[in-house]
Amino acid sequence: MDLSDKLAILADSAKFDAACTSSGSNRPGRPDGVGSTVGAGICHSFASDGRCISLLKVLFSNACVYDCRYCANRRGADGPRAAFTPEELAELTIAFYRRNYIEGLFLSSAVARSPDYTMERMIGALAILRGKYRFNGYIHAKAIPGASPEAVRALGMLADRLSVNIELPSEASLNRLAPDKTRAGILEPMSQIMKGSEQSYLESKALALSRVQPSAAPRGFAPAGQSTQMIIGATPETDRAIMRLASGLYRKYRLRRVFYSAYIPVSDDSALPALDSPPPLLREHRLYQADFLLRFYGFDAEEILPEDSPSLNAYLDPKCSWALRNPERFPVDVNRAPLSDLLRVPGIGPKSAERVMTARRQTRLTIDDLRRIGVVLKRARFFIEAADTAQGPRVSREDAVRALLDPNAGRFGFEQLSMFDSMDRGRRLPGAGDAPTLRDAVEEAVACITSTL
Amino acid sequence: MHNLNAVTANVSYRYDGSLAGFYCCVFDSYARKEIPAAISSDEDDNGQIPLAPERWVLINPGQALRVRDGLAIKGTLRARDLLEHVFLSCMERRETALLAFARTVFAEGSRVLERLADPLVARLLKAEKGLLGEAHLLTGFVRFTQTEAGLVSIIGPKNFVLPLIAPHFADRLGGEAFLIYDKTHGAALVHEPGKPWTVARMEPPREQPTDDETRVQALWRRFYKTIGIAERENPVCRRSHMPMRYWPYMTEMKEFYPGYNGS
Ligand code: SF4
Repeated sequence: MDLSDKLAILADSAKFDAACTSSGSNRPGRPDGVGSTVGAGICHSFASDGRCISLLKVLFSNACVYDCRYCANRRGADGPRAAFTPEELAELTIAFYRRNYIEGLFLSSAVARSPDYTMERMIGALAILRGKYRFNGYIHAKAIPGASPEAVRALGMLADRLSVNIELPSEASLNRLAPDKTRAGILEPMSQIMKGSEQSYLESKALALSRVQPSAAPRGFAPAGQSTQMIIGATPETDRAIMRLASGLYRKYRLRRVFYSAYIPVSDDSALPALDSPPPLLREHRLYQADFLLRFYGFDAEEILPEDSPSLNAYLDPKCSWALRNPERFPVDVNRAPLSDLLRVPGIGPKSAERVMTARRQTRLTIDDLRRIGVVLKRARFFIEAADTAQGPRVSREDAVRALLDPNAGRFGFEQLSMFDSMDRGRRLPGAGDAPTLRDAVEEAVACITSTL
Repeated sequence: MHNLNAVTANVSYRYDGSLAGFYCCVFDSYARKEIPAAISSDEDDNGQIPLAPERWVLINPGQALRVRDGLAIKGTLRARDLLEHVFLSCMERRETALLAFARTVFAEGSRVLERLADPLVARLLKAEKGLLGEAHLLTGFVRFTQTEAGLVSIIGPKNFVLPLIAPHFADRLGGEAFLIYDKTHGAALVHEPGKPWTVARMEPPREQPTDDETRVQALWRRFYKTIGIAERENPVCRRSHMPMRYWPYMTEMKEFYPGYNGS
């Protein structure tokens, strides 16, 4: 098989992995090698699905001995199989990197023969890349569940980021759909990576204090930490269960990112959504929004999804949804409120909150001032008080709710609304089956949400 | 040097387009206690008849340095960075705005930077954001072609980003000879291993690709087409992250650009 066909097969098999970020590692170039890493990460292109392409994302091999039912590479599936040789993959990575196509390599693999054998092949490829080609760019490698601690250690010494996929949001689902995998086989490497990465972080700090040039210092073990991914919509877990799990993972394993991947049916299996069901993209989008609230806005999972509303709202982004449930927290006075309260206002992000904090030192901010410093007022205006808000016209609750609805809800397609179990204080929000058109559904949702205020 | 009594004068300054030249315009404006009706350079010569009689501003390195140091002392390094960034940006009539900004910094110090809602400051910050945004995008979107002479890239940015992206590429590809040609501004970033990079006006590069180049480019195009998920197709999202004006310069995107003719 020629390299081009191999590349196509192994990229196609890797494309469902959501992680493509090249962030978390900041390493200057070195005179004897090629490459550097940039803390914030760099996107080199955007694929036809709008996702960032930062890394050459491929599997080492797609011929799996495991039989996870949600996976196109499982033992029982048909389709072409291929594997790189370590030399081939290293050479390809360098050729792409020098032309600035990519920021580095994202290497995962199906379980070829055994977890440790697979790890050995991956380690081989990375060792050529780091050794023979003196590659100093970004590498994200996936540890194979069930691999030995020695193999995980060796892979981590070559990678910037090393991670393990949690795959499904609960152990019950994992047992049911991935018979060869165990929860422990996933969590053990995760905790090993956390400890190793922490240790190498401390060592690099110590080196910095002793003034060793960063390019002369060893890379250490997975300096960019770890991330994980779970599949959404293949199994029955609620959004609340998913966010609680994510927040636990952030806390317990210090993950940099949790990725959510809308399930795209790969086989006709009664345990899984039917082949013609579309991936729940709007739901995935809402989960990412909720995840942002966890990471950058100081929310916790319980606030975003309290016990009595286990599903995210199809029509509202999670922050708006929270704000409407907590009217006593508003209005927030933009001229006085602490940063943490500004961050709770729908439509105000970390950057605009910072700008508000700076600008208000010089003047009492009016609505126009806010607009000029780049605060988007479409939603924020219902939740804030500025120097001149008292004179503004009063809007009806219904109009306010209409302005707060997320215009993206419709853009994802009418059908997507039905993939939620959206309840608003006990009232069910309409989905595709409940209203003849999207407009009707939106009007019904407005009425429904307004009535709960 | 500050002088609040300057009046708008019926004169248009003309300078060589360099940063030092612009600083000399600022110096002259103080020396002559006047604010020119316009400032223009060879760079933006578009055959238009000037608004006011032109006066050439000659470069005097000592004067330029005095203004430059003064900005950092009276204001802050951040104020000077903002000015020098906007100078590279594609903002319309940026020199006039930057002269007004420099005068405000000299008059009031760095507090001006906190006035984010001030129309002039807001305009400058927006122009700077556009420049830095484009520079960041291009650290990713630059595509090199392997030639016998080294790696060669052509870009067509709105802002003059070469000086901003130069340190990134020189650091990353320290051992490589490379050239990035900016078609919009007719200038190139040139790097040779072991030497400092330079940015200068230049003719377009004519180096031919090596024999292996077609094969590598085809591999990349194949990867690009494979990695998108058909069930999630989203052209609007792709265009908003990667505006179409970058496509003609990108190996994998050329063929999707309207009017592409296969070359
Ligand atoms: S281990 Fe499971 S999820 Fe991974 S490639 Fe094999 S079948 Fe797919």
